Amino acid sequence: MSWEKNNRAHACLCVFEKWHHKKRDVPFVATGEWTTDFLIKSAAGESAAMRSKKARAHAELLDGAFSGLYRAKYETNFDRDTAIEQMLAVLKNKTMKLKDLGDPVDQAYQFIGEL
Amino acid sequence: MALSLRAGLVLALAFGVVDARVQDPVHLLLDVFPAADPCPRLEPLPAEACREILDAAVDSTADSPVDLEALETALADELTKPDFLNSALAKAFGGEVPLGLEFKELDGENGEPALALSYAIDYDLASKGVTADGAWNRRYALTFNATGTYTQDPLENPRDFLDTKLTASGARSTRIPEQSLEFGAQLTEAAVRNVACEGETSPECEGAADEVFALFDSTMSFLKAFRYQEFGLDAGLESDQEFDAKQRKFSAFFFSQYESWGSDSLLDTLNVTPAFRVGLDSISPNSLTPRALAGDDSSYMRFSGEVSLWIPLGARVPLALTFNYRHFREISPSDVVKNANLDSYDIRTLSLTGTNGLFVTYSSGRLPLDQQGDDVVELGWKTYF
Repeated sequence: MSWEKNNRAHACLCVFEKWHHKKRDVPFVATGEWTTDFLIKSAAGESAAMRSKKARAHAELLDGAFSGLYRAKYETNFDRDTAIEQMLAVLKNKTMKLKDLGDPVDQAYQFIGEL
Repeated sequence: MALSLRAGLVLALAFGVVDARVQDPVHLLLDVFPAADPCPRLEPLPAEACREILDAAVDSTADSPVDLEALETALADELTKPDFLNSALAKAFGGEVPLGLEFKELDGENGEPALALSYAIDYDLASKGVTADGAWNRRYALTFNATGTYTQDPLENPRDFLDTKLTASGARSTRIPEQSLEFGAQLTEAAVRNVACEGETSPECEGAADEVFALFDSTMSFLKAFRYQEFGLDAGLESDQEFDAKQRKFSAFFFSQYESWGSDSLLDTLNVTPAFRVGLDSISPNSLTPRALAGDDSSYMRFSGEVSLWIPLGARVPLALTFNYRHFREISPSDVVKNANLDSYDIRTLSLTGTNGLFVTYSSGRLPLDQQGDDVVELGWKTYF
């Protein structure tokens, strides 16, 4: 898994998460170390059912931010369902970090200016 | 490793850096030549375990007696620590640990730490989204969920509650309005510049840190919050870890999460993201549940609720404060159940959580099938190499 400053998908994902989590001053590399528990705003002690729903909510939110705000398009072989499922697979995994979400986002979305 | 250390020790002895009469020449040598210490490179092997092995290896090459029993005891302590076991699990599965397996050390009220293995399975069997033109997107899903915590001795388990269920649900989430291509391009370029200009002071990077956030802030004019709501039906089984006490469960539930988009709402001022889940459960217990053992093994209805709060602590502090409260209450319990104090269960958890895995957690209360409450403290560092 890569986490590259010069990758448009990674940069757009990173900046949105910083804004959304009210942590604007955190550097790119440190942001990549954010756990999925932190990304989906999971509270310690919560039930698996609640964590699962929060992961789903965050995947829907990211899809909305990429499609509606950044105006990214889905890559060939991806649509809204498959893009969300791809992100959800990472967000449901407690061992994953933001840097693990970079490549799945890059695979599913084509951001403006990407070749 | 032992040979290179031995060679270093011989050199150190030859040049008089280490006196052969000192009690512990290996540690003295490592103090003088810290770069020779292989233990930092062998993480996540615990440093103490590494040192014990090194000492034994050097002793054996120097024909000194090695206390194998003491070594075994020391290693048994060090190698059963959750950090090491979790790292070993992650390495064994290439970083993707299956079934959400995680080792934990739980400190119960009696002060004795118990090594526990928890699992959390969350699998989507089917899912279909519906993109709407209105304010909401909709989704329907069928999911399988299982979670629980095991300890070697069930009596040491302060969270002896396994929950397994199949869920059919419908959900709706805020549809973020589609912006113009011009706005999208401006936002994308600003995000790229924000990241590329980190630490740069060149004229081209002037204002790059704030530009993208100002664009995101401008979306507050048409979006006040992101909401996610889900309702559905669960069918499942609750049990203790040995499956002696168990009860079938059918329930209807509603879940909602509200994330302020940064407007001037009260929740935004307080900087809180709340979420809650409420359910009405139909429970059929077996004869070994605490309630049945108290004298009432009839089926019953139960209210279940859960509230969770997430609060980030400042823009520069990599921490969030979290609170979770779960409550289970039997509807119209019998006197037998009330007198045995088995009609209501609740558990609350307060945590300070780092962005990258550092956490300290305190929880108190009890879950269904627990006969008495426990205060449990978890302190640790979740790392996955």
